[in-house]
Amino acid sequence: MNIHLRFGLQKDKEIIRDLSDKLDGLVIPAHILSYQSAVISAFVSSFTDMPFIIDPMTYLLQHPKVELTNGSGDLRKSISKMCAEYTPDVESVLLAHRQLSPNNIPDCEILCKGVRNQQLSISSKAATKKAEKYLKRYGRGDSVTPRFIVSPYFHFNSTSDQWYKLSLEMAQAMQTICSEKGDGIEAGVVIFVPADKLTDDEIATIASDYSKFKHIILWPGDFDERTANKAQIVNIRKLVSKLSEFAEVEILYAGFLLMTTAADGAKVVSHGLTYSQHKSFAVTPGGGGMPERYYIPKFRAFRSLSQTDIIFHQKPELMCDCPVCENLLQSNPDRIILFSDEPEKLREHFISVRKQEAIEMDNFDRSSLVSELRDIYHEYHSSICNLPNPDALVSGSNMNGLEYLNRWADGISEEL
Amino acid sequence: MKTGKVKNKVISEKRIADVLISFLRNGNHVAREVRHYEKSIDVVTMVLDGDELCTVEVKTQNWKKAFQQAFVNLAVADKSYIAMYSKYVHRVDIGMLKEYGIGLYSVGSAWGEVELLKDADRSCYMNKITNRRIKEQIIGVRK
Repeated sequence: MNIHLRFGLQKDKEIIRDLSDKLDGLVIPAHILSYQSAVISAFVSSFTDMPFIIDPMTYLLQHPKVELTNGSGDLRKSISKMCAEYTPDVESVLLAHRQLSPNNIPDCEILCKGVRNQQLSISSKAATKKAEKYLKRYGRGDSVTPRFIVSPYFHFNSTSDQWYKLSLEMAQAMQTICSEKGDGIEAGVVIFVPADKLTDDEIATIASDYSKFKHIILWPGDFDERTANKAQIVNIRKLVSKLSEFAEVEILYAGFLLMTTAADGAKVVSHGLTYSQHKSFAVTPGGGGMPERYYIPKFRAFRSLSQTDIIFHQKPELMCDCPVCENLLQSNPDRIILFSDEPEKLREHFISVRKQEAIEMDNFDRSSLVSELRDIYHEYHSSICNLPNPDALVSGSNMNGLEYLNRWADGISEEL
Repeated sequence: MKTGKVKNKVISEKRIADVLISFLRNGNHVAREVRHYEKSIDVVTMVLDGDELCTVEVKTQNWKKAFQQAFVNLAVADKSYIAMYSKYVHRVDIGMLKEYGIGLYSVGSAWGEVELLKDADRSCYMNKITNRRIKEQIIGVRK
């Protein structure tokens, strides 16, 4: 299984560069590319042999205007710049409505052409004078063309939803445009699927509608791995399995649970550096950064540093033995505080562990993983279930302990 | 009449903390809102000329939240406590506090209305490095 890192924060550029040997690719959000075109283009093109795609972020057009505008009623700069690159009139359409309906979205062909041009703009943007100074700093590589063009996509509630139909129309229009161009760059799609509303019929419809696409990226919306139930897990697995009969399936915003869909056919997962393991439609880009968190490999999840401190003092055997942790912790749980002095080490540790997990997925053994998850639950749940919910800030859920490991085991062990 | 009004007023967490701190200042270095990783500890004390670092999480009603924070504080404190408004202190599950070695203060709305209902046990999970850093910080604050 391949790990593609979703670029999110400017400050992560150096660490991504340092960790590039552990990464298989990058995902660049379109609004970031539009907003900081010189630095991001230079950054991407400075890599050698680093596949990437641009996420067109078109689902943002579905958000209420109030979430996309600043205090003075103008579109946020990153979104405004992205819209301007797509089509000249999309910004005025957005500002004229409280919230867009599918009918307000610009013509498929015009939007697809704008989106395609933006995704192919790395090379020209990296050739500007402004980008030159960054290229001098980063060095010049050869990553200028995306793996494939991602067509505009939208969030939908069911396959009868107009947004679903529009996403499919966009995908088909992009596929036609790409094949007409004849430059060998294919079209790919994002299916922003509602994990809690999937049924066997919906899965069959989606698979049939997208059967002509070779690159499919699934975004299981509102699918928080920590609270996902067995039915949701099984349905996502079924969808991955069905789509991978004809396409290369990737998962957007994935944590460990979604990595296990490698056994059902998924080839790639993408996520941020210690963040974006899950993202729902309601979240708009921006806002404050996440608190620093430590990935506890045996829990397959993050915990705040304060919680990790107490967990390691209770159960020192949970200390990670990756090279980063061996060097920093030196088997002494007191040294966990040193991560707060060097937070970049938290990211190094996470990517190092994630890479190992990806290798594990290549040799996936369903029954041993299920037993391992249940064993970890029995061993550690009671000792940590009274700690504050580590993700309350993000998920608002009441979950505190390791109940999710049992639910994962239930979902993963199910025969499809 | 006046007294009745005061009794029915909602007591703020700040008021409870103020009453507690004024009590604890007697014989201790006291610091408020002390940063610990991504969170702040409500009250931290260290005995004058002593070496014992105690933390207190203050809540008016929600003892479970205070307990969860106090549990996390076991990683920094020699002793970890919660302080509850006296009117709601009966809600606290003392058995649970005993299990985790967390202490309990009952705090009223008037100055001096502080009672130690349960002393805390010495934390088994204390991080010596963070403990030392916070001690240096609160002694520094005092100077």
